[in-house]
Amino acid sequence: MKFKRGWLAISFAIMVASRLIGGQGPVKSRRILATGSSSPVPLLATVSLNVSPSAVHFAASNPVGGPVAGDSPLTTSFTLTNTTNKNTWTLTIQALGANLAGTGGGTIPVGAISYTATGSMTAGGGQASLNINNASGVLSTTAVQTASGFEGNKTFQGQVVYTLAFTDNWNYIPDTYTQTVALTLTAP
Amino acid sequence: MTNRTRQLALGFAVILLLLEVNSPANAATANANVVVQVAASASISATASVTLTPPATPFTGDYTGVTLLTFSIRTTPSGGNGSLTVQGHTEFTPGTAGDVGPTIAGGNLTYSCAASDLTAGTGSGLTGTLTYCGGASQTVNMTTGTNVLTGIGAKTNAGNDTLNVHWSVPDSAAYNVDTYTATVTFTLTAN
Repeated sequence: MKFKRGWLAISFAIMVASRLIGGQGPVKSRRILATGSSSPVPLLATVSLNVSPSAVHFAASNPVGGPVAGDSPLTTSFTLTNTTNKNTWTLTIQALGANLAGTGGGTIPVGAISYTATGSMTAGGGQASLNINNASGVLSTTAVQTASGFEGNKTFQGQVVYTLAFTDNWNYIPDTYTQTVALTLTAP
Repeated sequence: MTNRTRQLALGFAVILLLLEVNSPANAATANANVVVQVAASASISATASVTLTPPATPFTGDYTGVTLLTFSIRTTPSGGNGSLTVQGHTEFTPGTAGDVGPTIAGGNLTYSCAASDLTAGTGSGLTGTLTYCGGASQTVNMTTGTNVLTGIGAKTNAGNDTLNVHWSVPDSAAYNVDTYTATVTFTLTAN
């Protein structure tokens, strides 16, 4: 009985230690098989993400003219280091609210803004790749995966460019409306 | 605890360790704003042409016809307004040069409209105290716009409203028999 308690304590201690190391995501057993018992556990990929510009503006002067292009595309540039060849990275786009909010209290659904995504890999090795998954759509509060690929075995660098357009409507009250869009890059 | 039990316990503990160490995913998020500047705006279209029909009894009334206007407008919520005017663009021209007929400059082209001529489209509609064609028959002017629909107020959001404008040209025995053509321009403004 004393011996059994000892094993339970060891098991618990190991679990707590592993939590402290940082585990919190989905299980990936692939890495265990790849590293072997004598190799150190590989580091997580390090993710660096930059979005430019900080704001895209739309001048909605007349709904008759069709969708209004933004004054600039939204360019997402990212770098992955400590990569693992076949690990998959993903990039999502998500509006942080259901509506663009006007200064006067009016709202416009974020779905009035559409996007078209294009991408390219600017650096990488091994099986590194960049694929556009949902090339076009409208903004929503649901994170939509727009790009993904393999990390490869060297530092990975990629770029996804979103061309945004606003669909105007006579029902929108003249005002200035704002909402925030989040671009999230995830890599195991 | 048997040796078999100890082995299972050890295996369980090691598996937990490996699964937890290898589970995380790194993520980075960057934000950008989307900013939309919606401006006051207006749009209008008209039936391309209308042929005026003579009165039932010659020289006892006017040639008449109707132009259907389709328009959309939005005005700013504070202090916004809008108006619709018409102005002669080209004077009546006879099919045969030299024939004498009605003229806009001579005040022969008049128009009228009423609230019953307006049909609301989409949106919250026209605001304000509306005046239709000045409240009475109006004469088209070649040099300045005259009122068709005035008093459109602030925070108007109207899409595809329609308005009938009724034309009149007197049937005069003094006119030569011919076809006379003129063009007018409707202007819808929004602020």
